[in-house]
Formats: sequence, C-alpha cells, structure tokens
Amino acid sequence: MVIVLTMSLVAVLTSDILIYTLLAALGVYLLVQGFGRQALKYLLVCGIFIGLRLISGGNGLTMLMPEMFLFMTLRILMMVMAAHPVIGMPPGEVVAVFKKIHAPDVLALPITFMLRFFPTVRSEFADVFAALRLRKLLSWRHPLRAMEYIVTPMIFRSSRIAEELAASAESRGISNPGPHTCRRTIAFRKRDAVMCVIAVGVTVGYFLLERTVA
Amino acid sequence: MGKETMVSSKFSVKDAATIGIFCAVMFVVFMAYSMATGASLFYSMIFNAAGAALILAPFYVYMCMKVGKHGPALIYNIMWAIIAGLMMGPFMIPWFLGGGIIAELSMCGKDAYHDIKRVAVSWVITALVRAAHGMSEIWFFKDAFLATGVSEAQVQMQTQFYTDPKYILLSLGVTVIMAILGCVISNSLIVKHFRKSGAIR
Repeated sequence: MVIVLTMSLVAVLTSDILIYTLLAALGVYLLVQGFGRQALKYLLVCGIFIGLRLISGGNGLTMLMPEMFLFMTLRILMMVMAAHPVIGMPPGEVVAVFKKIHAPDVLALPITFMLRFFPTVRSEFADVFAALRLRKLLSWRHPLRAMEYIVTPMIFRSSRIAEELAASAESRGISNPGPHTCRRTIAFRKRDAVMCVIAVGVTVGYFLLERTVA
Repeated sequence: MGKETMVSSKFSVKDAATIGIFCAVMFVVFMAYSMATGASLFYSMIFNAAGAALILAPFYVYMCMKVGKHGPALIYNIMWAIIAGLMMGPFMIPWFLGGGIIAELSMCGKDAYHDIKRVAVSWVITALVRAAHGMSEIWFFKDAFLATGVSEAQVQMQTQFYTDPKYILLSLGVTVIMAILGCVISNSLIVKHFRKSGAIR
C-alpha cells in the first residue's frame, strides 16, 4: 500500500519542498519498519542529490549532471525507499503473501524469484569482474570480446542459481496445489491498519498541500 | 514432468525462476548502464534504448530459449511495466503492457522460442517499446507527464527531440539495428557456449 501511495504521490508532486519532506517521511517509515541503517544511507544519498539540485539552482550541473538526471534520481530513490521493506522480505513470506491475495502463479513466482535475486546480482557481477581482472581479460580494446567474457559466465551463474532456487522451492512444496503454510503468520493486524491509516492520511495531506502550493 | 511439479500445464517453477532471475539481472544491468550514460541528456533521450537493446540481448535471448515456451516476452514486459509504473508514473503501465502483448503475439506458433529469428523479432518490438516510451510521454501522456513535476527545460528538450521526425527516426532506427546486432551476437554465444554445454537444446 505504501508503494502504491508513494507511486501516486511521485506522479503528482511538483513542489521541491514537498518532495524533500516526503523523502524524510519515507526515512521515518523505514525506521519504523526496522531498517534504520538503510534509512540513514538513503537519506544521505538523497541529501547529496538535494544539495546538488540546490547548488545548480534547478539548471543541472554542466552536461555531466543535467537537471533531468538529478530529478529522476530523487524520484527513483523515493520509490526504492518505499519498496525497500518488500524487497527485503524473505521469499517464503513473499510467496505466502501472494498465495493469500490469490495472485496468479505465472506472475507471482517470477516476481518472488526476482526479489530474491536482486540483492545478490551485484556480488555475482563483482565475482565475474574479479575473475576477469585476475586473468587480465578485461580490456576496452576488444569490447565485443569483453562483452562475451562478462556475459557468458554471468548467464551460466544466473542459470545455475535459477535451477538451484527452483529445486529448493520445489522441495519446499511451492507448486503443491493444496493450502500453503508459512512459519510467520501472515495476517492484517491492528498495527498494519494503523500504518495504512497514517499512510493514507499523509498521502491526502500531500495532495492537499500540492494543490495549495500549485 | 509430473503434475505436482507444474505451476500450470505449461509453466514450471524452473521457468518462473529463470524468468525472474534474468529479469533481475537485466534490470540491474540496465540501471547501471543508464546511470553511467545518464550524464548525457542527448544520449539518454536518443540512444539509451539502443545501447540497452545491444547489451541486454544475450540475457533476453538466453532466457527465451531456456524457457522455450510461451510467456517470457509478455512476463518480461509486465515486469518492466511494473517497474516503469513505479519509477515514471502509472500512466506508463499500459504502454509497456501493450508492447508486451504485441511482443508475445509475435511469438505465436509452435517452437517459436527456439527460433532465433522469432526471438529477435520479439526483442526488436520490446526494444522499440522502450525507445518510444519517452516519445509516448510527449505524444500521448503529456498532461500526466507534466503533472509529475518534471522541469520545464526537460519538457522543452523532450518536445524538441521527440516531435522532430529526424531524431525519432534516428532513435528508433539505431534501436532496431542494435537489437538485431545484439541478437546476432547472442546467437553466436548460444551456439559457441550454451548449446555445446547442453544448457540450451
């Protein structure tokens, strides 16, 4: 719900001050959700980009940092902050949530595997690059060869991981047609209701403020 | 494969894992590439999708051939529709969804996902949808796009480039060429490495 509400706000907010305060509100949301360290990291990056925007006076910093780049980065950061708790969810819980809302498997399963793999993609690439550097195979002189050296092991690794994750999910009965259970109870509790009310209230508040400012 | 190991009569958990993981890889590569080239506004607006069509092609072609049945083109584009909706605004969702349906329809017929030419057609459609999404913001969703708080300078620049047939043809033409080139390179990688190792039949 927070993701959808943030998405709707990102699509309508035009005032810089409202965007900046929304970033702060999302920081508080992450803090409440138990992602304090990540919230600090995000807010630090946001602070740098807001600083760059303020220094540039809305005109961008030379052709290396156009206004569009700074603006898009802040918007993307907003969505990433709103989505962080979902991205960090254990795959078992994601599956349980999808089962609970009766999402079609054809979409729910790829999304689950995608969320599961997101945090490790960077380290997979880092391993491939480290191996290529060790063998002195990374060179800008032969871009096509370099592309082959990077892409081929990455595809092999990703494919192997896909098979392992699929086997692991199968062994835990992911495609069992019967009812699925989860170690953690997935239920809409009072605190979720409170969080939803706050989120809706904040969103409505921002809509009204946006209309006043505009 | 037994009934209990199938998500449906056609789509297995392994297929879902392959699509999900390759979507994640392609998204991360695209973001890294866009961040690296985003400094140049002209490149971002005209050639971003073309470069992406080249560097993402091997992952897409492998994903399609590995799954080998209907669905990957549509699901990949649905993933992009969700991501684009989150990043750019909900008005972009139908654009990518429509592109995904067309890409999947281009794969009609038996064994299309093992035919590099058919996979290349679906990849060209997918790449064109991505290349034209900035244009669609100006052509079809201008009001919604303006409401996102985008700067006046950017709208002016986007309007300037995306209403000039010369730049539109340049962007779309280079995207088609790079997407085809990407598929040619991917096919050579498939033959050289993945078929030989038995990863793809």
